[in-house]
Amino acid sequence: MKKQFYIQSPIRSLMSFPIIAVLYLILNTGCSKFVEVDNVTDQLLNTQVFSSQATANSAINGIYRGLRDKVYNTGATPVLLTGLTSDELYNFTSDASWDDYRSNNIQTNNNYIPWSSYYAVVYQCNAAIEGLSESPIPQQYKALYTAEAKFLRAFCYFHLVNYFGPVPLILTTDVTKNANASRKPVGDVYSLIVNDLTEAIPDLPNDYNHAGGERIRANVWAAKALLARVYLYQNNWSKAATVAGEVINSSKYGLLSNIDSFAVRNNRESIFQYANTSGEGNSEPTRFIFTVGPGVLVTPTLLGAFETDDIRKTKWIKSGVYQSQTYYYPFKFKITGPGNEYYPLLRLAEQYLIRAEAKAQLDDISGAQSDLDTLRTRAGLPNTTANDKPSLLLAVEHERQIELFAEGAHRWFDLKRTEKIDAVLSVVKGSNWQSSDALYPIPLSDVTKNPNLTQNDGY
Amino acid sequence: MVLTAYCPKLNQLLRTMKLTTIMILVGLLQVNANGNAQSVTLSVKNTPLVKVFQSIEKQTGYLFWYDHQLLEKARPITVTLKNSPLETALYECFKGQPFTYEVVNKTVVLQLKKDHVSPIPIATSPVIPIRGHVINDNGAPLAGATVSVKGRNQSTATDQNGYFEFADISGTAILQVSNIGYEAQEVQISGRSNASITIILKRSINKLDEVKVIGYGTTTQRQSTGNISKVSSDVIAQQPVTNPLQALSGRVAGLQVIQANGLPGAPISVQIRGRNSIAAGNEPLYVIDGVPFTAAAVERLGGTNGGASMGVGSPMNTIAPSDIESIEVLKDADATAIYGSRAANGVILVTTKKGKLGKTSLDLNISRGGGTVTRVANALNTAEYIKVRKDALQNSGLPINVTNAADLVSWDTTQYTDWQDWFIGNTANITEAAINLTGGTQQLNYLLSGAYHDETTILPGDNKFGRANVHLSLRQLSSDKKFSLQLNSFYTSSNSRLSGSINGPLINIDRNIPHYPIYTSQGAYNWISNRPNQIAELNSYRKTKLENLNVSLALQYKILPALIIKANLGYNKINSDQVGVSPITSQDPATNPTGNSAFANQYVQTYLFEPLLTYTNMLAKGRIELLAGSTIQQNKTRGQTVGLSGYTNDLLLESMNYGIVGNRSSTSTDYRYMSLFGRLNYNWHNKYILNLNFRRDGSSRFGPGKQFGNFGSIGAAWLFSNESFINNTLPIVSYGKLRVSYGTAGNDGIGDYRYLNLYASTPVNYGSMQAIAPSQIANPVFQWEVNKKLEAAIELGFLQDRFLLNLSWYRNRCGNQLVGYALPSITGFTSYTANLPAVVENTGIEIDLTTTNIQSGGFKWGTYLNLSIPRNKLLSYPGIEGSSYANTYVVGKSLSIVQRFNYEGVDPQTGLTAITDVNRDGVFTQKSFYNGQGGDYVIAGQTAPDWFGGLGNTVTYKGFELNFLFQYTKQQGYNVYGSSYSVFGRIFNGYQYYLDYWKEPGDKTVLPKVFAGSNTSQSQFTNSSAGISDASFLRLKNVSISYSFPQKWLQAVKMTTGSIYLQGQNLLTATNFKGHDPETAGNSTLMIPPLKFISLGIRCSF
Repeated sequence: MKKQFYIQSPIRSLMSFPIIAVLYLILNTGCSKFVEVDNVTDQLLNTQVFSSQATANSAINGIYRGLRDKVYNTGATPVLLTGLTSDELYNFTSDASWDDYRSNNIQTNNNYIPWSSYYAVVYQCNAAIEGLSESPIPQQYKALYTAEAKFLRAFCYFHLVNYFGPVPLILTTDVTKNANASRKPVGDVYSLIVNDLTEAIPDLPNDYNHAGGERIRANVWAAKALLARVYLYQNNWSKAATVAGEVINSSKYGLLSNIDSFAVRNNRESIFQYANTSGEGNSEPTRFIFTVGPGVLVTPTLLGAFETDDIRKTKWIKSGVYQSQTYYYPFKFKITGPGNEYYPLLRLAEQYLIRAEAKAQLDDISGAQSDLDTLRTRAGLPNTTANDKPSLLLAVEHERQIELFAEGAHRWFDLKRTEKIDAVLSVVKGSNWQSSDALYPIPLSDVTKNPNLTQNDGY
Repeated sequence: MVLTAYCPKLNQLLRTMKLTTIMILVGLLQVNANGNAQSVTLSVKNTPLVKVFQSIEKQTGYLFWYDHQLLEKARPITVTLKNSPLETALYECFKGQPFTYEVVNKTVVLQLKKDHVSPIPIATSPVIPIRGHVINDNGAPLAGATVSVKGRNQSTATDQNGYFEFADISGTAILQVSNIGYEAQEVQISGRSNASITIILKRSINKLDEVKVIGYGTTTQRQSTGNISKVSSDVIAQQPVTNPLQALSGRVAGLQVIQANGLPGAPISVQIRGRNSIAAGNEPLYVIDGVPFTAAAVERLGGTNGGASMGVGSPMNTIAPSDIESIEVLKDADATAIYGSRAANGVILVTTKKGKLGKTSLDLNISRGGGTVTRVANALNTAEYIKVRKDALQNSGLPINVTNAADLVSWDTTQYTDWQDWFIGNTANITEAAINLTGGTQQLNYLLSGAYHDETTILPGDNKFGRANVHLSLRQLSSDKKFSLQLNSFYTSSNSRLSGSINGPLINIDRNIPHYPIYTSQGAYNWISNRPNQIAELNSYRKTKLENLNVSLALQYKILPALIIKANLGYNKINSDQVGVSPITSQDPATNPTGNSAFANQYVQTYLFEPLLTYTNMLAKGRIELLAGSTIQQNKTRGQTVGLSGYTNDLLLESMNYGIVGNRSSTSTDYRYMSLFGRLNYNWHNKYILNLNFRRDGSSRFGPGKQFGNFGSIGAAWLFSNESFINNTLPIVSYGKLRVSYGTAGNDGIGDYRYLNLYASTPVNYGSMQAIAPSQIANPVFQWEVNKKLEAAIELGFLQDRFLLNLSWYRNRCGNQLVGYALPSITGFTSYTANLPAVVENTGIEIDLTTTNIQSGGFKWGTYLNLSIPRNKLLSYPGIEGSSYANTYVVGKSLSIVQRFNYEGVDPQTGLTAITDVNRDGVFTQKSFYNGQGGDYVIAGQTAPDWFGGLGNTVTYKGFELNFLFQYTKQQGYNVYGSSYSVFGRIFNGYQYYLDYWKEPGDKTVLPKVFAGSNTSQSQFTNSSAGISDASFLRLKNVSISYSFPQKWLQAVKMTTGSIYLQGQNLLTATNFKGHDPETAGNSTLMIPPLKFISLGIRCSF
């Protein structure tokens, strides 16, 4: 920009005239200053956010909140989608978006595909990790918040890789790099997850003081609980058994004696729940618990899988009558509105199941039996009769189906992980089932916008 | 202002003045001798003329001006007159004399008859110096007037005192004198040596010389190199409009003015030369007295009418039409480039009234009128409705019982109410009063005015809109005339109250079954499940108070005669204060409702500082004008909304104290803008004019390094009618100009801070802890959207400019489109603001024709015609297939296309809809056939007009004046078929247009058979091309009749002027449109039609 203004010589003497002086000043001081705006007052720059411990903390809360709002508090929770694609749940009334899942015929433009929801949270994690790396706040908070963001990023990628197989590894907020990212092999994704979690563990606290004493933010045990699960999915039995053992032996957690408290806030069994704020409830139970007509129901397959006298069948499944027909629905959550329930994402019972399976794989028969029986006893059932590796593995599979039903995406992921999916679902789903259905499709809108993004087979 | 450095010696000039000079000057004044009551009695025989003159002077008080040498040629007179009119006396006296005479202000001026002047051979004419003084008809000196020698390359301009000088000039030369706003004159030097003359220029009445406001200056049509249309105060005053933008409708070629609906304060959308931008704003830049003005509604409570904001917060609505002196519409690059980055969509300059010189005058204007909606599509009456329902139930195979047809079985079918008429069939009353006080001297003059506007609505209930404003304009000029100060300010306060459920009546007329039981037998509101009671819903309402303060101060100092420094300071603040309430009575009691309210306020504040330098002088025999300046502007927007619920008493809803606080939201944005600009205008002998504009703009809406953009234009004009070869060969052409312009203008009409990575508070906490989350993904590299404008035009005047024709062709190409660019969601967001290489082209032809058809005696008839033929096209859009616009736009087609199924008609045998399976895949998919979308939607029509225009006439005779304007638009629009036919046959009402439906095999109808339940035939019909049809209309837009009282009546009541007038707006409409009003047919939802309106008023001044 031209900073000098040429004024004819006869007029130079008039420079003292104030307006000319002002004009001259403007032209000489560079113009960019005049188009710089003050900071936005009702929004914060990302640099501002991570310049103070309080706002950085709020940004971390925002990631947890994002997980709740974008993933779990929608009609597309892992429980609903994988419950429908597997053999756990069915929807009573026709809903085009859910019907696709129930019939394993997901259209690529289905608006429930759990893709952008996770990547939106991944963006928040990346933004926090980047912002914290240059943050001036005390090192202890920097480390803690970075660890939490890595835990949450690992949590998202764990779901993404199990839904879709190879996925793009987005590790920055740079839109120019991300917009045409291509898919990375499953192994790379798991490496990132393990890496994020192992990096996070040393910086995470033992307790929940950073979350006001509530079990709504990750601590070291949440990271280890997730890591144990990841090792199990990687068939890394010894590490899975070790890490799950650390969680069980931490003495921070204990199995609930009354399983009605499954979702009660900060119950002793829960390792990590997400919080609702005052006046909010969980949306999932509203899809199950019916007053007028049935919503999403438990399949006869699942209902038939319960052993007689299993307390879980009476406490976690409830029936309702509609037009003189009885329907059964999941009743792990007890209330539909605001109240004393949070949403469990990691709990101790799963760690027993992880260790049981790992020990069985490692031929520790009695160890596996002991972990299984701990859960069976609580369910009012006799000790397991399985006494060798194959039967114990089957017993663990059955116990997981019952204990973890309508929770997370356990059933669907277990069927895939144990490679039983074709055998089990071709029976339940009949001709609707194809092997390629084990992976969900990538949304059409992303495939069209990103030429490097390939679609899964069968879509 | 043009000033030469030359300072004349006044005394010498005065000494050299001669009577003959004065006579030349006076001879130029075209003032007609009035027939009046002066009478003369004379009886003389062979008396010298000079004696007769003395006698007449005595009797009448008139004076005679003459050169005594002239009278030597006079013949003695013999005449006898008794009480003859002066005119007769003069005629008799001058009969056979070698003189002509003219009467000027009680002065009779004598001149030698032309054939008595001995011709001076040009070849021998001496070269002489000449000095002159140019003044206006008030005697004020005119600075900067151009004086040139006809046929020679000699020209100069007058200094600040109106003087000019030529050192050597042919004694027979003819001087051409011109100044902006004045009629040009030719003055003969006639061989005087050392001549000194005074030239009086008359204020222009020629449209070509009318002053037009442009960015940082003025021009005239004659001298302009750009395309500027002007609508002046008298045209605005003819129209009973609330929003001044409505007054532009049909009057400016290339300008489309669309009123969203017929409610008071409805937003007016203005488009100059079509839609340039896919996603950024398409509104022009509004500038009021030099201060850029926000066009977007300043309101936070989203009261909508079918998705479009009701816009009671529309800022233009706060400007009283009576305060406006003129509105200029700048269209091409030459006119708009000086506004640089914001002028891509054209500029609308509003100039408010200024003080008038002279004694203090007081003007009063009061009017009152009433309006109703222009045109509605009638709904069915009870009998028609029942017939349709029975047919539908039969077609669906359903028996008529309580389950299927409660409306036929349980409701009283003898009842009938025309609910549409009940809702929008009322009369709106409008009262308007304005008072205006002005006066002053050249040193100090002022204008103080106030206006009051009060309007009810066509809706039932207590809905209204009121506006009051004050306006002050002051001008101070220092005694040495070097410094001046001009202050313009106005303050407006408006209040509106509109029922909250006004989106109901038209959009959901289908709900209003003609025998719907609104009340229970106990007289309470009757709520039937899932069926809103719209009368109860009318109990909710929204109040909006809007305040607008606009102050502009222009300071100016003449450093040198040719060099002026100026500073413009501007301030504007628009504030809105709103409350919207939903009382318990507006809600279904079955839901155990409580009342809820929302309180909101918002303001937009603009500061402006503009230092300017102008330099005007003669350069190489031409006139050069230089302008350099800078703009510093800042806008602040702040707003808050608080929602409350749980009110148990409807009377307390407007108090915050009785509700439970719910959602809160706030907004806060700053916008800064800085630029440097310059203009060079060179006018060579009023024949060749070159105009260059440059502007470098910086806007805070762009990221670092991208804030600045350069814009510029070049415009050139050739006034070929001033060439002697045209003058000689085509005398019929009194004015002819060719002009071309090319340049760029930008658009930053996007939100603020889009280049930043921002965090915002999420709606609520995480648990009990505060949570924030990223609200947008940054794109630091997006840049201005740039509109490249090219225009060529020819302007012609015939028969002394009685016929004026403008023909312009333009081509605007808008590229670098700013859009919400679609991102794959793996980036964390699905879109961000980015430039797209898409190009939108607008081309068109505009014709303006002004004619004076008859001008004789007291009768004058003039006509004004404009015609615009615009074409809009998406020229290119790389990657449209993968964009979010893939189903909306098609390359090579207009941005206004509508994609629908292609309707083939009704199968006469089955009565079902037949649509085209365009992609031949056996199924009908509601997606575009184009851009690889694999659907069956084709281009069913477009909403942009094919052509539009206006035809206005002005007829004056004595005190009567009649103006009328016809507006015509050739276009397509959304008819009622596309709105609710899909549910026709169910428990929903429809329109009379729906009655032509298929009834039995063999019927050839437009509309398919009706069913009592969901069916594809009816929904396909609604989504088909049948929903788009011709919406052309011819409208008598405006009629104004006024009568000015005769002078003697006025004198009796001590008034200076006085008139009564009758005005009408939208009086008659001729159209075949199947819907409500064709003007709102561009909106796919049905809107309350604009009003047809008549008012009667009186205007007087003292």
